[in-house]
Amino acid sequence: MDNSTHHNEELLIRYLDGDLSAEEKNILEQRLKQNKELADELESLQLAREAIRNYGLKQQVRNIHSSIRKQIKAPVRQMSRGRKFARYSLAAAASLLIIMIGVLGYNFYTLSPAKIFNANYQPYELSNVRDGGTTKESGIEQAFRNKEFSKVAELGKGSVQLSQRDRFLAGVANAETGNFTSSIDHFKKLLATNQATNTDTMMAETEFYLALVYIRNRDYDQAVDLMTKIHDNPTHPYHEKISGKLIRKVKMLKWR
Amino acid sequence: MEAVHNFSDTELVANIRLGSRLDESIKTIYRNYFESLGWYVINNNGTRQDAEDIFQEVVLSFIDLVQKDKFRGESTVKTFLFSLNRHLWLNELKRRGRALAREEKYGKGQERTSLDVSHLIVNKEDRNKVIELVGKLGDTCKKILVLFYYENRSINEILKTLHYENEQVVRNKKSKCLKQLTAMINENPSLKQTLKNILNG
Repeated sequence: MDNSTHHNEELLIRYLDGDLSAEEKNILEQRLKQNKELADELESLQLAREAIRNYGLKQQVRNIHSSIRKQIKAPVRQMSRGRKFARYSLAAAASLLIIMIGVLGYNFYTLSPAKIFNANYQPYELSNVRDGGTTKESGIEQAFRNKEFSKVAELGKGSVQLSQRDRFLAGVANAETGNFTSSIDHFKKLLATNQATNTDTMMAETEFYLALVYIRNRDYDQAVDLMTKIHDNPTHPYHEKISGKLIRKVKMLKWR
Repeated sequence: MEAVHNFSDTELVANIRLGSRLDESIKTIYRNYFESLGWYVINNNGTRQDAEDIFQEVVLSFIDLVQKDKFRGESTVKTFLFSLNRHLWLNELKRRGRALAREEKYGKGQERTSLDVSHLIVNKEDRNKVIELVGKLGDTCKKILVLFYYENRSINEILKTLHYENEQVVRNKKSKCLKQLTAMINENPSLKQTLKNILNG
């Protein structure tokens, strides 16, 4: 680079920066009109300045962008109607599912043998009409009619030769007084006698009450067997009382 | 906490034209317009990132145009920014080979008629090439040149900022850096032409 080129460059830069005196400026502008090479050189410098301006501006905007992007409110995406519908449906379905799970969970955790027993147990009522009033009412029967369950249980305990009817009442009375093992004992003896004599005295009632007492006594497998037998037999007098739901609940109790 | 300035349209344009209080002016643009302009991008096939990138480009173009005196208040700043935003986003979609959704979506209060700004806007890729080229300079060169030619700082201020021995050293360094950049531009004729287009609009 010779001295004059160097001198010209410096002069042009000073011109670009606005550093020339009025006189220097005039002289240079005259030269620029006549000297294309010099004018091109000036243009290159102006382009460089423009490039710097773009660079500087980009840096500044970028810096402000990073510092401010978290403070400014974000634009929102408007949902299409279909999308809105889908979102709300999904939300509704999810809520429903949560409620269902809640209800199921609540039911599961509050499930207890006592609760099922109480919900399905019904006091056994003796019919008022006896067979023409000819047969004399037994002591157990009398006590039962007066709802003296402890007395019935007591009377049932000693007697080996109980009628099937009295044995049934003794079973119910023991269930009423909370003596479930004895209750099961009476019912099982009744069923065994029936089987041995090939009769079915008080059979349906016994099966129903025994199933309930089994539940209360946490003998779930025996309870489920009996309940299934009643449920599967449409002519069973207690068929309506043993629903599939009830059986499922008892099965669920096993998992508690 | 930093004080928040909210400039009116007139103040905003005056600041930008003079290059004064530029930081606060850019922040005003962000606060006042990002939500609504970003809405347009996001609701016309864009993502949040797209909205941010386009908005940066909008701000860049707006300042550039105001400083080149190509925005003279024929419309409101809002309408002008919205037109820039729309144009830049449609271009970007075209570049990606994607079309606008069947129906263009406009936010609340957004004008459906926008100005034709196509002839004003510098192509984003072109601008990026120029910026990349400057980026190739050394850090000191970039600093001095930006301080002097972009931020309009005096040699004396640069001397104090960058801790040089004296003004002449700063002046020499600045000259050397500018010449280096000029040489880089001259070595790349197509980029030089791009720059000419940017400079002369």
